[in-house]
Amino acid sequence: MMKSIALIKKLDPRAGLWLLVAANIGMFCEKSTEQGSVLSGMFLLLLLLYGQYMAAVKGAVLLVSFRLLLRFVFPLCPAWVNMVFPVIINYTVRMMPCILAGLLIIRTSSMQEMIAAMRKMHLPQGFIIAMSTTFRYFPAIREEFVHIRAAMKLQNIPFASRLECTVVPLMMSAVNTSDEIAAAAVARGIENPCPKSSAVQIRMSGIDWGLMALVMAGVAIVLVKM
Amino acid sequence: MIKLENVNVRIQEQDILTDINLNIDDGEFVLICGDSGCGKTTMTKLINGLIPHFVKDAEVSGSVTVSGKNVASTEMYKMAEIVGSVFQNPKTQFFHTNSSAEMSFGLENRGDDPETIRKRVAETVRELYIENLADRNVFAMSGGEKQLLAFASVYAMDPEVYVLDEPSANLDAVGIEKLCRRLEVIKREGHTVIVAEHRLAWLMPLSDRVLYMRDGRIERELSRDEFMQLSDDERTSMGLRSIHMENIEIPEFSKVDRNVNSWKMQNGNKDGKSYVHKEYSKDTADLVVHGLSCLRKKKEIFAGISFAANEGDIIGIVGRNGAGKSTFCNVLCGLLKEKSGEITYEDRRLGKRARTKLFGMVMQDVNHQLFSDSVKNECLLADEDATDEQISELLGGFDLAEFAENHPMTLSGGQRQRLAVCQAVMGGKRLLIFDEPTSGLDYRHMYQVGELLRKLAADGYIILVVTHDYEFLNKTCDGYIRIDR
Repeated sequence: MMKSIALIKKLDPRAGLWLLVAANIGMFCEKSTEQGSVLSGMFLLLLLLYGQYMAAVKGAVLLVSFRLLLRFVFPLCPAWVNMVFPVIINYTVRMMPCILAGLLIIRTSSMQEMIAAMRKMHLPQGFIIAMSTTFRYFPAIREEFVHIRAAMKLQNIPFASRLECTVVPLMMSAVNTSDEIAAAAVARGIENPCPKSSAVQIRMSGIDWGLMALVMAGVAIVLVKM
Repeated sequence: MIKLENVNVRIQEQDILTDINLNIDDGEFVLICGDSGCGKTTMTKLINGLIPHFVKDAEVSGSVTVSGKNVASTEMYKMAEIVGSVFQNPKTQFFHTNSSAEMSFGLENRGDDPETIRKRVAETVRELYIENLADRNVFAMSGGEKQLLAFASVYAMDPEVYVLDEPSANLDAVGIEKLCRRLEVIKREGHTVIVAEHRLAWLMPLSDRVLYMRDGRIERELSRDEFMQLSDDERTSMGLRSIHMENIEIPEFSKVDRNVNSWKMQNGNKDGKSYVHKEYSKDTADLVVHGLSCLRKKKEIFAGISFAANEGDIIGIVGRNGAGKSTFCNVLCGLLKEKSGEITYEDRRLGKRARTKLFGMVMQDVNHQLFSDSVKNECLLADEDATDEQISELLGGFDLAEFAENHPMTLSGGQRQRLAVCQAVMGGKRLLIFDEPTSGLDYRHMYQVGELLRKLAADGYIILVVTHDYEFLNKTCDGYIRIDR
């Protein structure tokens, strides 16, 4: 894969979680759309700093087009359109800072680093396992989905019944795989009560600390002053 | 020392294992073989402790001890420190999404020092010759690569006892070679190894003892020499696969000289000279694939694949793990776009869409392609205008008539495979691709798949089979194509 050049190389997952909290505070306390836009802009900037250029561009395009839709297009649309879509889009726009912060975490740290971070934060073992299996599950489902979609294409299954036809095999494989994954994990000692170690080591850097302070201050300023 | 005394296992009112008495010495290498469903997997689960610790609905009597520890009364994580297990399905053994993280998983669980873990993972990669598998996204790996990684993750833990359940089902010859060599070292170092397998040939030099199981009992216990002396007939009647490493004996496709418009199936070297088995020309062959290549994410997956086939041909597709065989099938079926080359069927050049109509696939995990709540509805999905008579005739032809109203998930693996074939037949496909149809099958089931393919060929279908299973390839296919990067 192509390595992009990033201004800041490493984000500690713990600092990432802090940013996510900041984004959440911002999202729940914001009173105007302007505040929301500035907050989203802040996280777009962060994505750029960490070298996630494509993600930043996509996020920006999405944000702007949603804003335009809400401002100019929906007022002209018939009532039934306004019953459904503005609500969804409005919420997406509001959640944008959180989505972007989440994206930043996922893009900059591996699952192993996330687990190491959660261990350092002394979160309960059960919670860490639950979180990491959830993360592992998304790509697994995606893989299954790709196979099922291929099978449907070959079967020429009409568009209308595709959803139904996706759910049945997906559920079946989910039931089977979750059991087998659990068995494999148990057979490699996941239940061991001793303190677990991590092959990757993570460390909070000065940049991490600085960023945490800066972003939290930024959120506070946006909320109070604007 | 592993000791099973008077062990009986019942799961959901069914006797799975009966009267098992077995002693395995330290450092012994034991092969367990027998039909699918004979209780091999259950034996492995008794030794690694998943029964009774994980499988909650199993009724177990008798006692199992491993290294002096009573398995039933020892915590599962303590068992995990003694016994390393590799399971059947390579897809569902991963906790992490990154391969190197996966190899350190077991070591992290027991709290090893980070420096030690990193060293051990590097060692594992080096000793198993899997440099190409280090630090990769597990979801981008092929089935065989995943299987090798599953073994590596257990090897990294350096357990006293290895329990391997069909560790080679998806491996190519090179992968088997790697696994075999390492097991040799493991054995020499005095570890105990128990392998349940259908593919026997590669295990012959390693095994000290062979257990032949049938209907949940250990029917015969043979030393390696006794086992090797069984006649071919006796072995096949026991439902066992070949004990000799198979080489491909069927002809390979090649172009006739520089004439790009015709192909021949040619044996490279039989009795010192090559001979032509079949010839095809571009003008008369039913299917012509010419110069097919494919790019994914700017990387060439395969290039310059050419061959021809007539109705009734069964053609094998071989190549190393991760060489692009699955991608090739997807391109052929029209699920992916080709970079260059053309595919002609009955003098008509086929685009992507036309190919999805005419070409069908029976996937490795056939569950992905069964969508309905009954066998009959599964056929109706392929052709909604089909009459009841048509369906029952079709199902009858594939021994599925009596299951017409059953839910597909209640069928056995082989029955599901045949149901997927019924769908394709009903959907009017002319060419069928089978992706690893015999992985993890015993002799009898492998034979049945062969019969199925021959029946389809006799009905005028063109059959392509992706396989690592040379025994099956030699028995079933007319010729083969090799795909290699």
